[in-house]
Amino acid sequence: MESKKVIRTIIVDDEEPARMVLREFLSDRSDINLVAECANGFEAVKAMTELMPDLIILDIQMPKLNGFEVLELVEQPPAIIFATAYDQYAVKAFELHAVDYLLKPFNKNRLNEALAHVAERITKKKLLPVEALAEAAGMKPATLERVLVKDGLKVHVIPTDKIDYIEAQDDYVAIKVEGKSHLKQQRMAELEKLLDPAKFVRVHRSYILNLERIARIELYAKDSRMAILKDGTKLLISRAGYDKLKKML
Amino acid sequence: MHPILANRRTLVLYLTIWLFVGLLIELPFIYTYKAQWGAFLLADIPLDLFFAFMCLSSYYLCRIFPIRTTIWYNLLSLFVVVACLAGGITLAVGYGWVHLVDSLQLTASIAPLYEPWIAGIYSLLVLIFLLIAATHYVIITFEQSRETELQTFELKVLAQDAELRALRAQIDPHFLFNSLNSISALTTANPERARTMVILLADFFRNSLDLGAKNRIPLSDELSLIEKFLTIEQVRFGSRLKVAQDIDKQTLECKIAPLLLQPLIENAVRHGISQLVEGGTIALKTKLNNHKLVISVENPFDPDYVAKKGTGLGIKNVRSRIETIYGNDGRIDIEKNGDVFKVELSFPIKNITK
Repeated sequence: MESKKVIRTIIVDDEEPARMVLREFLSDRSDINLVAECANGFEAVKAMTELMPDLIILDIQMPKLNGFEVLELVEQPPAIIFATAYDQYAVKAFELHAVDYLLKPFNKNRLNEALAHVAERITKKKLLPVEALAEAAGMKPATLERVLVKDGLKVHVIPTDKIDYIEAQDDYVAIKVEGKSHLKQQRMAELEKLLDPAKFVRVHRSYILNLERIARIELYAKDSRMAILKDGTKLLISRAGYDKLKKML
Repeated sequence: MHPILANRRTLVLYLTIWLFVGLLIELPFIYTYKAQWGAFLLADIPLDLFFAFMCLSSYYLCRIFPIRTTIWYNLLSLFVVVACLAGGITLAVGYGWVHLVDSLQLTASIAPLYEPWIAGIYSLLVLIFLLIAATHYVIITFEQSRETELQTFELKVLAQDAELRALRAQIDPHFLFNSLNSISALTTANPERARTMVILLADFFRNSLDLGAKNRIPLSDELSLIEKFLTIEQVRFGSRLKVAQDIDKQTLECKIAPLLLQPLIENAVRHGISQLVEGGTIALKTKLNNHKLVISVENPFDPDYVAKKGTGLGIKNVRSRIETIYGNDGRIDIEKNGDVFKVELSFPIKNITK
């Protein structure tokens, strides 16, 4: 007899009964190995990083991190089946991107159908358009309201208002908050585009500044200036950056 | 648009009346000069219609100068001038037209026969024009009163509609589908509990439909509905959802509009407790204060939680209902204090049975 590859699976749902149904339905499938159950987004990110599962069955509405944000934080997301009770927008998004999803309550057949698709997906290694999905599902605000940073197994949720400034560091950005620095793998230009332009200004190739943190601006050299932040930090401002600032202040 | 022109039947009626009036004026001439009756008719009918339309134009003047806001002697002089002008124009056109008819030489010339009567015809035209202008004012007043009546009626319907929508919005699909999912989970693990849940859910919906159909209910009825709701939600959220009640016994019989509290509790669960990893306690308090019923719902929430679109509708509905029902005597206060969200309702009570 041909032995099927075992799919290592994680269940993520903040409601115990919802996890219970999945556990029960999956229990008599020999090809599924349930490696973890998570009750919130933080646990999910941790489990995915540690266990590198093949499949995650993911609730969307959860405390702290919603399903889409969980995926955003994982470098190589596994195959995904979304589960939701009622969310017109999300369902539209799933249909649009041909993603597998379950509408609660669902029966075993429905789950098995989704799992059959997943087997294909795993062999083909198709990547999910997480950003586009989240946007189509109406879960992405027009401007970023919080930045998610993964630090080893921990996740930091940083409200954008708390950011002092952002510094470019090779392929990373260093997000400076209350004297601490959080590294995130993202390009400056990308982050700049997502932040509220009324609050954040790219004053230099290497710096994005929270306008509210500026204490004063001093002349530094003939063509350049220096922003002095309220905590005393000094940051170089380019000429183009100064022009932008002048318009804002 | 002109009310007479707007409707073909009234237009036909109006023109028919005019033909009669025209014929009435013409009758003495036809009677006196029987041989020329054809020419008289040919001269008269088009002019009749011409002047009929001319008179209709006064409607627009009436609209521009409303009778209530225009000074009466201004109005009178305006209409006298316009009427004289309209009469003059009609006479001039009539003069040309009659001569044209004469030039056809169907009968002996009729123009000279009109001449002695021109002054009389002119004053008649002016008089008719003024009369019709006055009629237009009557029509406009009538139309306006009907419009205001319609508007008040529409407003009433809208208000009722808002109430209905507020009630219908109570049935939150998230709640329904998630509860059904919980039941689905319980069916194999704990069939007895699954059955209890189904019955609770049925009771809850039946109850909210019943209460929604009523005008006023005792607070105790609303509280027992909330109790069912929270019991169902406790199956979903387990130990994450805790409830603390501080109910003043005196308030239980107070009459309130139905389903005012339920949306607040639902909100507290959906945007408060369910967004917290550890959950928290919903505190529900009622008390009497200066013949007012004061109800507060307090819950912890995640300050970082970014509400999705379409949220806050529950509270908005409650606010607009309180406004409609209690007017200035009702209040809804919303307070965010750190990670605690508090809604307080207060409104006068009609009858407390002791």
